Amino acid sequence: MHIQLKALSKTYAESGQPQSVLQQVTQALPAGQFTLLLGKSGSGKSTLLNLLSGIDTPDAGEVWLGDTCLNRLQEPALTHFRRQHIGIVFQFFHLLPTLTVRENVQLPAELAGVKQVAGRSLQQQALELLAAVGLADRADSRPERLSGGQQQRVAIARALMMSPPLVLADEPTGNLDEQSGQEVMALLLQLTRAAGKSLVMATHDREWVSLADQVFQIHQGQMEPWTP
Amino acid sequence: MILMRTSWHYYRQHRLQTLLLIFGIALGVALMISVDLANHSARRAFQLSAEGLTGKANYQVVSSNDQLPESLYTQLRVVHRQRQIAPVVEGRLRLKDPLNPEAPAQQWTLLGVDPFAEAPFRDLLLSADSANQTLADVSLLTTPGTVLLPAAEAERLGVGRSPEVLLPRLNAQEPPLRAIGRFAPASDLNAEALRRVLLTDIATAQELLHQEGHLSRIDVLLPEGDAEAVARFSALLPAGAQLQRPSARTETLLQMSRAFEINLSALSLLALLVGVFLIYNTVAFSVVQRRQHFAILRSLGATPGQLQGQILGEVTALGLLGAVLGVGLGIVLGQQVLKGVTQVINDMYYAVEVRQLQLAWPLLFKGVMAGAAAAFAAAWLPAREASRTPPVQVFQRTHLEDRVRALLPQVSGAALLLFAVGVGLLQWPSTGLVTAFAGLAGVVLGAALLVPLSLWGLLGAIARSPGLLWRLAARNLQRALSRSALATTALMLSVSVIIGVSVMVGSFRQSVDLWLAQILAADFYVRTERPMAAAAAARLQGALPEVLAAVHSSRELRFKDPQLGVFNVLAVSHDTAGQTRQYLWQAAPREQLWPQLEAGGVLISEPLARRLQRTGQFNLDAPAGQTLTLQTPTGAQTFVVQGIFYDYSSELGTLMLQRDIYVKYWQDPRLTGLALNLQAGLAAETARPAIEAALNREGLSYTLQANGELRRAALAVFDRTFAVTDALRVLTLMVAFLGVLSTILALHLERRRENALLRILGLTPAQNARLGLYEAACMGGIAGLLALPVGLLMSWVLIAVINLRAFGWSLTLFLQPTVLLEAWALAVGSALLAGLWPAWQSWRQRSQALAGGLRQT
Repeated sequence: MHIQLKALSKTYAESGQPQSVLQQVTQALPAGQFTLLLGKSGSGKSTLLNLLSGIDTPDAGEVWLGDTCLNRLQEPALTHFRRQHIGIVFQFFHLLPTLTVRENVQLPAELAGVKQVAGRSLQQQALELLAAVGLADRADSRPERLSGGQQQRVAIARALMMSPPLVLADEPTGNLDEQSGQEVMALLLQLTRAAGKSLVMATHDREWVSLADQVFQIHQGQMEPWTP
Repeated sequence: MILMRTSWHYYRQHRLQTLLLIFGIALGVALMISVDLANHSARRAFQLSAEGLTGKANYQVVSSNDQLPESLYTQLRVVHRQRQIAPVVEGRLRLKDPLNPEAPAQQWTLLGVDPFAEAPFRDLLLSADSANQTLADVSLLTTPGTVLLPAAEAERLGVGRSPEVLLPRLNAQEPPLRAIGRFAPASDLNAEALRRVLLTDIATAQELLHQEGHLSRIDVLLPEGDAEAVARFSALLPAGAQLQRPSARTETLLQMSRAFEINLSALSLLALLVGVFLIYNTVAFSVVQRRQHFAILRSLGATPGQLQGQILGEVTALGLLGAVLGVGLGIVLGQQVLKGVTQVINDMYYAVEVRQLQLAWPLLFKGVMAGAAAAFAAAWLPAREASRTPPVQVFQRTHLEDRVRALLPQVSGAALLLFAVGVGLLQWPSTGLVTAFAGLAGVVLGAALLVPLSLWGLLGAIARSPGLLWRLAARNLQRALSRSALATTALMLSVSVIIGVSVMVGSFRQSVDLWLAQILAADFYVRTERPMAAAAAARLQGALPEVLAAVHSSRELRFKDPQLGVFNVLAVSHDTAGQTRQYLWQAAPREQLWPQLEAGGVLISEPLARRLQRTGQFNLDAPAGQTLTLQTPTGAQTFVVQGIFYDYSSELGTLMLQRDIYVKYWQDPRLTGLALNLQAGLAAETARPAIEAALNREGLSYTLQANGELRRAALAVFDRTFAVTDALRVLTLMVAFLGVLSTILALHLERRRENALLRILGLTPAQNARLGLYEAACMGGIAGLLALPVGLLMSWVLIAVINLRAFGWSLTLFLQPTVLLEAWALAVGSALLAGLWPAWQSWRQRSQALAGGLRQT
């Protein structure tokens, strides 16, 4: 999915003082590529991902995903668009403790009220994705029984459940040990690239720079191509 | 101090919850206080009025039927030279307001005294401020139909500005009373107590009350503590007259309404119990929300005692605040409850007029303490849990819920034990109300403690539903069992009370309706305000031979027996309901009962039989051949009990006998009621004018009611009696509603981040709102479902145990399925109502605000 950011600005109030996080950011991200957003804590990476997913609103500017301007959508159209087009992986996994692993993966499809995804039943699709992330045998477990790396793999499967063209990942390895981080990244890349999806990932870790198709640095409110 | 500041910050941030906590306590305390104050005010008003009428007399000569021969007074004064005595004739009159003749007639107490004997007893005559007082006193003695009014009423009617004011009687045929002066009681308190008292001369009172030749009592002054003087005086009295303390009479009357007051108090305490659940819920939530905060404080060196003290201190302070508000609210509410209580007492027990709530400080203090204690007790467990849990476990959010789930078997075991104890107490061969209420409390608390397990199981069933939102709702509630179980319990309790009391009241009403159909066999009933001459019955039939086929007469009076207590004596010339009356026990077939009454036997009502059984004076298990000895005016007389009939007219009980037997022993040929059978084919409305004309010619103050009218009037009194409980039930439900609202708000706040996540994953605002409503519906539906068996059980206990012990009435349980359906709908409806605001908040949440929601912890 082709992404266009047009003069995007965002300011937060901190102790009564305005703090500009993004200033007039304009950028185009081609479809089907892995885009890495680098930056220190508080630089605005997560804010940019939030604006991309429509869960935060810019003070100025527009976010275009394909032919859709996200900022012009009203509820519930915005939610419907997000359901169909965006998968999200969070740093802290955010699995629902009341649901089993399989139910967590199925959740976006059930919320959308669909009976089938890509010609398969929801259960089949969820189990296939769990198999793809190596957790088919834990389908009926509760999330709290899994390790951090396993939980993040479930979150990846959930993000891919509706087969969205865009996957957003906010520090997906930030809460994992090195080995688990490597495994999760490998899976994320493998599954998104194989399906030709766009992946936008925010991180402060330069370890993944070599894997990305393009790398940007968020610094002092600007989004610029990263140079080593 | 720093701990206090952190708490203050928390409560400021959670204003709505804090307000709910305070209001929950306030409402619980308000209900308790309002019932307490209303009961107290009615009793106090009655006591004051009785004391005002008694004056300084420390003894009274009374008889079982409030009728002493006038000659007894003369004998005591002249023959036995007793100077410190005063004759009194006391009775009730209904008068119209001369300034507002269209208003309903009001009841007055007529106090007839002898001005020459009054001085040592009452200062009412001396306190009159009229310049013409001497003249007024003389007129009282010499002019028939003259009375003195209390000063305030005299002022209102203009007595003094004109020589006399006419006070119209209920029956326009009777000459009006003539108010010729005023009396002013010594204190404001007395003035309030005596504001519906008319003062007159003995002879006038006798004439107006048709008590010629009789006194109601003789007031006596004897040296205090002189047992010999008391014994000497008693020895002067004939059979049927007794010397007793005035307080004994007042207490006897007050005892009559005791069961009614206990029932009301129990209902108000239940509201406080439901309030305790609400407090516990809110406190538990505030503690859970601050578990990490407490854990940090523990890690930094705060002792468990310090933390527990902090939590208990802050909640008790809020409890005190709520209790003080509750007392204020209770005073306002009490005015309304007082009207209901006074109405019931007047309908059922004794005449009392109360205009103002009496603010008894001990009761208000009790309310404040009860509120603070309830808050303290409710906070104890959460405070202990938060302060004792090791910090490392406190950081694990699921720890508390894990512990709650782990406790389910023990809690359920305790529930079964409590339930068994409750059932045991109800089955205990006791006749006391306290045992019955303790048993009911055991059963209800047992049922309440079973709610968490039942809720867990039923939510588990819903969690397997194919609908995602239902599944999520059920699992969310399971996950927050510590809170959802409490709110469900509170709602279950209040709805079960509604079912229990509604089924009981419905069954009661149906039983009364059936009973009325059985006993009201005549076409018209006449009840006279004061006894009428026996010849009136014969004259009436003689005057209307084409209208009346039969006239049956009766005499009813409230009888005070020194051994058997207060009950009604009903003497009838014919048992008009003989063919249809239902018996709990009868010595002989129906058709043989009347001959046995003619031979001197008596029938007693079920409440009387049960009351006498409680005091060991009657054996209900083997009634055949048992006798009752009554202190009649002609001395002690023994009667064989021939049957026990069902009767809902009075909880005091009734003894029925044949009128000739009554006249023989009571020496009282007068009548108070007539049952009229019309000639065949004559319609009641056609016959009414002729009957009224004939009764008016007799110069009677009477009420004439056709069969259907009497039945409707009786049911109207019934409905009035339960109006107070209706209001209390609604208020209890309000407390439970606050509990559900508080829980739903807590769940809503606690799961902000989770909801934001769901929204990010594709939950629409409408679905999010539905999820909240489904949670509310789950709690309401399950609470309603669990309330059905508990409510039915409660109604059975109320009917078969408490009503029987308190009032002595056997009731048939009539179950209307609509009551159950309505109660279930009420539970779901109130839960959904509580869920509306959070649902509205969810529905309004835009996607663009989700990033903030996700950051919330």
